[in-house]
Amino acid sequence: MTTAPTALTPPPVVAPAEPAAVAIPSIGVRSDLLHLGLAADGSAEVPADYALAGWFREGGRPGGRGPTVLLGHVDSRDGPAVFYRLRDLSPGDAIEVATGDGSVARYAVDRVEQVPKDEFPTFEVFGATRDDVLRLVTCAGDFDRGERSYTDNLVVHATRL
Amino acid sequence: MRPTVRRIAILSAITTVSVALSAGVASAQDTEVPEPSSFTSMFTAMATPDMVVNADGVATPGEEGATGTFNYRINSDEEIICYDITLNGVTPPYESPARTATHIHEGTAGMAGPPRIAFPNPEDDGSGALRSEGCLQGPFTTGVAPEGTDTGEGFSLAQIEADPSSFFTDSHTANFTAGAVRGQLTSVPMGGVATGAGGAASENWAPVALGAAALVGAAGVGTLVARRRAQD
Repeated sequence: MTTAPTALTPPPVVAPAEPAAVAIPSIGVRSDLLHLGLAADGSAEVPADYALAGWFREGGRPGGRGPTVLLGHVDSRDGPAVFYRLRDLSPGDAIEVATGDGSVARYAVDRVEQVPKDEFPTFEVFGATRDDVLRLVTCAGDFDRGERSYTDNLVVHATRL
Repeated sequence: MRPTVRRIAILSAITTVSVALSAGVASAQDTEVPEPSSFTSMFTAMATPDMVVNADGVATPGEEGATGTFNYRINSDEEIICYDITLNGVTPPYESPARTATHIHEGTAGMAGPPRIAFPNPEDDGSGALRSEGCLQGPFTTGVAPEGTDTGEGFSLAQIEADPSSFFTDSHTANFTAGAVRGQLTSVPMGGVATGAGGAASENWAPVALGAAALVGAAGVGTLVARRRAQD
């Protein structure tokens, strides 16, 4: 069982259609994107750098059918991390995803939901969608100091403008 | 011998009736079973008409405007696949030489390939969408045996786990026999996402000693490349 973060740096060259960076002006987030896959235990690989968000590369990308899924830590042992303020997002807030060709896809927040990790709605977050949608995922809920893990995930659902 | 075999046998006797009603002849294999307690992998596919190719691998667009979401959960130890399929804009009747017209085939994007699993066809759930959900246990058969051997024979779910991009899923209709919609399988992660390590955002937050090494597992990676700035 490994939940150790493994992706360290963003790729040096990002394909034209693939996400390269995310910006969320209303909460002051701006991050290059790591490219993430699956961990050995089948869970989502998460960023090794707590200051950076990551894109789940098995899923969608802007301009196509969804979902584009971005993962980021809420905090490290040293304090708040890249997605710490995700919980402050409100419906209508803008999220911008820049792709490798420099174009920017704009999304608007539909809703923010908190879900228990042991009942994580896999296909509501990662399942194929007809539309160009974006999901942001971080942690929330109570913190288990023994496991060094939160009980819940916070999921932001957004739709392409 | 699994302790649940008897229960499965009873359930399958019940579900065989409904499968037979919706999908023609039901096989003794491909048993409808209850959902297992755990899964070893999960996959999704966005199926669209533009992905359809015919048996010769020639692009053969399916039903215009139609889409399908195919969500699969696999327990490869028990050879069980749970399916949750939703079609929008697909117009039955279904048609296929296989036992049903909704399949997982072996084939990479742009290539044709034999069906390995036949699922009950999605039916109108009252909302206008066509839905099919449940769990099947192998060994799988499709009812297609072009060379005398069923195309499901010898297939196991571990093959999907080993290389999901080599499999696609689709539904065939009378008007679009090559496929109304088709999509390649992609992996989705299982369980929650481990995106917090400090407790600073916790609802039960309390100050603790800070400064411990945060990046567990970050060592051992080779050459680091210079960060480029993507949004200058």
